[in-house]
Amino acid sequence: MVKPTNELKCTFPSTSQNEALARSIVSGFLMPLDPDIEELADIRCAVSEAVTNCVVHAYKGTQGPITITVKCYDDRTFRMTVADRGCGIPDVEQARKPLYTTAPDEDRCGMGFSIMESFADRLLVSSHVGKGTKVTFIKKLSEASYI
Amino acid sequence: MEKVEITAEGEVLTVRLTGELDHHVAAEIRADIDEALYSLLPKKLILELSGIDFMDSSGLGLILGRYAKASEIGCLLVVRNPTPRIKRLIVISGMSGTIPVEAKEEAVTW
Repeated sequence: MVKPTNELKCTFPSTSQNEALARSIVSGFLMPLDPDIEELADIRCAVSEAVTNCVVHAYKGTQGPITITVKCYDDRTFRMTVADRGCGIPDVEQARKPLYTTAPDEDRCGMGFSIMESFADRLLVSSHVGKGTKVTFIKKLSEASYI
Repeated sequence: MEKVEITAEGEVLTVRLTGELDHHVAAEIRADIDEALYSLLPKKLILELSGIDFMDSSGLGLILGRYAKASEIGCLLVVRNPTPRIKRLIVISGMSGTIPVEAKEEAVTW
């Protein structure tokens, strides 16, 4: 197992205010790697999507813990997992399809997973009904450009 | 810090959004826009997005939802001055054929 060069694990409650907190935490973690601005924006968007899914779907109407784990490796691979202990997804394949949503009345457009996928090299989703969901986002960052 | 500024001129309602547009702020912004939409019944609703620093699919949902609501009352929604990031999200989501997008210089006031 390759050892990460840096890692961070944090848990916070599934309030909507914490969507911005999650973006800040992940941005702060990535900053020392001098990421490309577009790649950083992609990852900020991906974590926002994952955490919003926890708030809106996993803990719908209730509140529970969201755990984010981020790791980076020597080859500039960035690995992030966003895990909840919420309701779980009965059909992950269906949930990952573009425009699929269980909450159209709340202006959810069903693009969360599609956006995360388009910004990731690999996106893994594992879920158990009644136990929770874990989303893993993997992306190799481009080389840092020093001026 | 997110902000919504709504102005009405003739039959045009302009909504200027600034800051971060995520799920947390979308609900409040949605309520403000819908209230103005239903009370003023404009023919055109402009969402001015040049001041948005961050947006995710919650912002797309907000736009699509307002597009549908505006259509119901015979109003056309137009997205004005989206940032390159927002344009990219609109393309990824396949909304580019649905939502009209326009670019227009804004008068600068000092």
